Amino acid sequence: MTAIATDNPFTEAQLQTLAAFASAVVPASDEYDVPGADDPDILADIVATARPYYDAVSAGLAFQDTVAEAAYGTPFAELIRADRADFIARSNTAGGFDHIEWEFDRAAISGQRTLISIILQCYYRDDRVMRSLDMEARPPFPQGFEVEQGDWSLLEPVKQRGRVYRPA
Amino acid sequence: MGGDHHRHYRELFNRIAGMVGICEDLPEEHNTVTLDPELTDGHGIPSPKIDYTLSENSRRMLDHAVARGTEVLKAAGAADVITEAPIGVGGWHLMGTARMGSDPERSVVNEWGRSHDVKNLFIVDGSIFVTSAGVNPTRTIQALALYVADSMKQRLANLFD
Repeated sequence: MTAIATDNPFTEAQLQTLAAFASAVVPASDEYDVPGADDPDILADIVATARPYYDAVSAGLAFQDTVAEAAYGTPFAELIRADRADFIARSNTAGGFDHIEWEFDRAAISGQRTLISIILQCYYRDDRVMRSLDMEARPPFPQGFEVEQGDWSLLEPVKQRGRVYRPA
Repeated sequence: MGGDHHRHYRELFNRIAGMVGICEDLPEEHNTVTLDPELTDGHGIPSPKIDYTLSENSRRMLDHAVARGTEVLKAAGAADVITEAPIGVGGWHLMGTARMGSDPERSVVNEWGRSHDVKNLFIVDGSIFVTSAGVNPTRTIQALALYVADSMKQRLANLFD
């Protein structure tokens, strides 16, 4: 956890839930030779990116624990691997948690979605992950990318037409 | 999310093409923007209250657009077509509420942008549109600005009569 900035506003318990959730959303894969989203460098990026959205993300993390405790009798971070996978599968399915008592909380669900968005955003800008997708491990700007040139002669009639607007 | 994430992601990565069909609502009187009777901003100014119902005509336009778009995508070799109409999240153009027209009972500004009620008030923006125009409105707003400015210039002697 040394990679996580010391000024992060999340408690240790929240960080544990966040790491557990990140690894459940995007697990590591030997098959594709990629880390999970709980990789220390990726997690540090997630925490730094989530910082401005602390209230929303905190609500999302608390919601994870609320549902996990209702469904499995334990906070999310303490779920065994199979239960985490079941949790994610149920989250992907409409009515997946209909078998338990839980209260719809719009802010918490919005926070959970924000967190998922941040996890994926940070994961897919990690150099190792980008390379695994045959992408250049760099942002598109400022260097840009070489783009195949189209047929610029298509613009000739437009150029020959001349100005179509009036002077100011 | 979850165990199959990487396989699913790689199935979709670089293999997705998007298509959007944009439809223009008719100027339907059941769609309104009014002042909210209760909700205000931090200064106590009433918030806009938007009442919008997807009409039968709009629904059919959307269905038509989805059907034609699906045909195009499948003809191009699409294996899986996912549709959503109307889209839940998108960008919106703020249009109308001070629409242009010759009848003061049914419009806010006249045919050259002057308020029917306040003779020295001109409105030159997207609010004078009578429908949403369907596509991006900036060029039309620019054209309206030139047109209204020309109209004012031609009427300088009796602009507020």
